[in-house]
Amino acid sequence: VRITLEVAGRRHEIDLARTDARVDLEVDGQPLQAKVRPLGGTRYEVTIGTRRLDVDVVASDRAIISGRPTPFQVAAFLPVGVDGAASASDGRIRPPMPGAIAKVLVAEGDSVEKGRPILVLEAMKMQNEITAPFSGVISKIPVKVGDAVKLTDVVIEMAPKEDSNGRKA
Amino acid sequence: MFSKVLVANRGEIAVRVIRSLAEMGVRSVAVHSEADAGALHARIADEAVAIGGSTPKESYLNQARILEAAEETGAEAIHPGYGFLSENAAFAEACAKKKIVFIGPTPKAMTLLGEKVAARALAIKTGVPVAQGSPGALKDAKEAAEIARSVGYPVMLKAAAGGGGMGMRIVHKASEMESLFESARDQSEKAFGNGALFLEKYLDHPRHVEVQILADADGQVVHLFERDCSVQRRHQKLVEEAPSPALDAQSRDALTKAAVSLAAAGGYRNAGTMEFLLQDGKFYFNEMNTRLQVEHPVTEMVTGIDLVQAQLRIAAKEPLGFAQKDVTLRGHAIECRINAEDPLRGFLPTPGPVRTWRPPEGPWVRVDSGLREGWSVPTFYDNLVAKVITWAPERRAAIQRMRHALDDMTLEGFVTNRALHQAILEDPGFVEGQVTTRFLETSGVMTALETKAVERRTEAAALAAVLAFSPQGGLGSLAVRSRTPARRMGK
Repeated sequence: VRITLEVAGRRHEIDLARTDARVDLEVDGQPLQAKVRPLGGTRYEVTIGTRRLDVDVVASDRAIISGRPTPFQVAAFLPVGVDGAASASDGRIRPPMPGAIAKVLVAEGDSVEKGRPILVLEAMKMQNEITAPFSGVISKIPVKVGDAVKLTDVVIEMAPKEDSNGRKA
Repeated sequence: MFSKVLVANRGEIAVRVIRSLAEMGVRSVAVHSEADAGALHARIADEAVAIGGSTPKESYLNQARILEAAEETGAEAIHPGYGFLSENAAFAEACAKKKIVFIGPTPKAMTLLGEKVAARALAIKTGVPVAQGSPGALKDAKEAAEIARSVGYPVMLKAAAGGGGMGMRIVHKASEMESLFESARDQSEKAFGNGALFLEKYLDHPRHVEVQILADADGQVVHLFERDCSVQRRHQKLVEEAPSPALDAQSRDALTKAAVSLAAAGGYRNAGTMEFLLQDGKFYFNEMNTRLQVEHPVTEMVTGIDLVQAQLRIAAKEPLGFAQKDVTLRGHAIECRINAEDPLRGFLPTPGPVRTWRPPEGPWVRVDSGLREGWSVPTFYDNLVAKVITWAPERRAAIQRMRHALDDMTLEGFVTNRALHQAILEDPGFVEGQVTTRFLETSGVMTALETKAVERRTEAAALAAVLAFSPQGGLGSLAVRSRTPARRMGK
């Protein structure tokens, strides 16, 4: 399952899969493996590599995390989104920051190479280019110049290019 | 004194100006855009007027609408804050036509000192040191190359109307001049509607030191010592302090005298700041800001003088109430600018909802902000959301107090640059006071920040693992099932 977890104000994209006491994770693109040992109640001991952390989930949106070098801290967390929809790789592209659409650089039906700029987003006097996450065809543009968009809005939908055998490239 | 003043700004600076007005018994009028309807400045003012849509052009830059609001509410004066219309001579003139006092310099002094080429020429005439370069605006790339050859490369091309790093180019050798000249001119033309450029010898390891001055209607000019704003990212200040750790009594005396003489030569009145670059024991005039600065609180902390109240007295043609000999420098103050931005993602803006906001407290901790829980930081404006300022008798103690203040601050809902400030405050070079404007590139601060980010990622992983392990712990509603991660396209 893929979730967006906000911990102490910072968002992390997390893929996770659990088998018994082991949880395989990919956090912001970094693969990690965690071993979880229940300590009773809401407390757990988590081992990640050489790090050991105690996690106490004290409320549905608060946890106390402690261990070395992490000092004892109360982390407010918020699972923001669930499922693959949180990822750009499914072709439903969401903005990296909330803002307004400054420029649309492609049209529906356009073929684009990976990395090509497709949108310009403006927020707080800064412009930010959004590029194609993979090579493909622009299937839908649900926004127009001037629209205000949130992090969860889809700004472009695209489909991967298919090769001559109909396989996805 | 005025009985009612309109504040033509938003965010922390509008809040800060309104507080001084309240203290002086002057009624305040806030103006706000659609996006700022629930903003703190609009709530704490005695009156608030909606002036238009969310973009700056529709609201905080809408001169006609702001003047109308002043007339409707009977405000006698307008405080422009910083940014927006604060350095707009046409707006100052439009105020005068409506018999509304613009709290700032005369339009003439604003143009003479605020325009970079004119200010540089005046500095040369007044005997204030400037970096070697062109006497005025450059005709073309050829003239630029000739001057560059005589002063020696590298040189810096700067936009006469510039600001915030726009229209600036470092030229390392003659062969680059033509193309860089053209791109700087084009950018400057686009950004400011003025393509004029000038040239200065490039200083590669300067400190940014600026002098606060106050000049009243009778021509009395006093300085309030200096601020050091060397810690910057992309020409935007991040940490500011007063006094500068790089000056001694003698250099401080020379620098402040230069600032005062330049303000006097320009017939200036209002609060203002002379910016200098300091390198290898020499200082060079850079530019003047004819307005209140973001970092003015550090000066207030070390002098005990409220700069906004002083601006109001000057604009009301009242005497300042003190002379140079009455201005004393006491202790040390530091300011950290808390921005809605992610230093680990190229300083990408991160506007979002203010879920929790508990400003730091304690003796000698000051917080200027426009934050309010339940409000959202709009995407249309500057990303500065709060300023944390600490004071102590000595610099080291002020740094230590700032560390505690930042630890004590709770701001949840969006990413800020707090962790970057915490890394800066731990940097040995910063603690020693050995920084230049290239500090972020040359110090280990960004690396330290990335190391911290790895720790944060591990903590997030631990938390996610626990949530996956115990569905009742919070992820239950998110239906976590045991399965292998979905194969994603493009892998």
